[in-house]
Amino acid sequence: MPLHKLFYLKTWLLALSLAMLLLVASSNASAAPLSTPPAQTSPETADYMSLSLRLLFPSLPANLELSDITDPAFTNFTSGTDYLPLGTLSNPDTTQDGVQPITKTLSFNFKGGVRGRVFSSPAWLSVIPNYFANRNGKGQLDSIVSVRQDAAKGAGLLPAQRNWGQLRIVLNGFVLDYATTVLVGPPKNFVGDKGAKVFALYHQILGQLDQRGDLGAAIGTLAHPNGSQFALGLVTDYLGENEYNQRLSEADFANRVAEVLSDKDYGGDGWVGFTKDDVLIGAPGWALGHAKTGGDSAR
Amino acid sequence: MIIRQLLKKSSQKLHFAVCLVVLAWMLTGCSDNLLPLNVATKYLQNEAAGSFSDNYDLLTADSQLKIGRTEYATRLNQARQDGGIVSINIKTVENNPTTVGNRASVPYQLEVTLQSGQKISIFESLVMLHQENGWRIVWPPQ
Repeated sequence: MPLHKLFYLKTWLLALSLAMLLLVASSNASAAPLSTPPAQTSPETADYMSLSLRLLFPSLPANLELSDITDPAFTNFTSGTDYLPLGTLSNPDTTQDGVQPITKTLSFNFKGGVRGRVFSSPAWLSVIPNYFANRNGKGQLDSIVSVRQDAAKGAGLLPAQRNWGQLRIVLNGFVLDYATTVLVGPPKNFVGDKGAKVFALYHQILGQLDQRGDLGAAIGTLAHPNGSQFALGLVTDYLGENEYNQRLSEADFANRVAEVLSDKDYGGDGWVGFTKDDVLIGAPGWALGHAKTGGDSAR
Repeated sequence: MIIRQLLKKSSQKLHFAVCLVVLAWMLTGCSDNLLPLNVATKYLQNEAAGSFSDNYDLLTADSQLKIGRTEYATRLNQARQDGGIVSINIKTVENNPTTVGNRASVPYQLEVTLQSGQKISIFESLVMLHQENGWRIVWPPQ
């Protein structure tokens, strides 16, 4: 082998080794803080992270360190799914409904050491507190489950259907799911029997999806597990809001909903779903779409 | 001699046909052969009548693993009471459900009467899976 080629090979190998060393060093550096337990501010209520960190990173996973708590006594505990109906909101435009409450209390009685966290989705479902710890002995936790209706905060309740939510309660690593529902009535202006119109528009959405080979998205995707019901909710919203003040055609509306379900840009405008202009004329703010990213993918 | 051979051959054919029928029965014997529309209609009729325990049999195997029959029936009865629902009237079950492979979606319209006397229309959809025993409903639907 010529001398200069040998030199280049050696230089290349040296550079490769240096790069590998740097990579290992950086991964060790990023792993180091994870091995350090987070600071504890209030061990009785929330001892996963300091308050400031929790405010900054509310979605960080809970620490499931169990060595400092006694053994729990789960006498009647079975993992699985339970159902917690939250009541009826007969008019989606009202913030309070006189007929039924939209707040419920979930009470847990603990024996022994229990550390847990409650996760809720979608955005309209709220649980307070969602962190708790019972280090030993008997303890009771009352979690307030409530429905947020402020569309501006991205609550996203759909009219004229049972809205389904999920609570996931993790106790010492055990998972218990609660399915929840809120029955929401149609919009105020949705009067008379509009069934035929709702289904006609729904079929336009199906047509858009079928044309592109995405009909499966109408049944369900990860983002919208019951795609058809989601579409029907948006249709009643559209009709109840006077077709977004008569400024969004049925064809455009069907196209937007089909894009939301398939997560693809059908219009070729570089945007998936409802645009900012659509929100300005009456589409729900929480339904705002997003710019098309690299490759669209039906989920 | 020729007649005997013919008889033997036809007997073999008969055995083969019987085997085919038995095999087909074994493969489809557990399925109720109901279409998504039929299962959905049955489910909604039971729901309107408050027969939640009967509806439990129409859920997918996974859904039944998640929740027991008694809990399912009790909670759904409770949901009806908590929601102030007096009666449910089936207005429409879509005749042409969306079916893709072994998944289907059946949209429907119900009219729900509340204790206040108010009647509200709701538009929903059932998500269904085709399993060994036929089309079954996914619960919770999302």
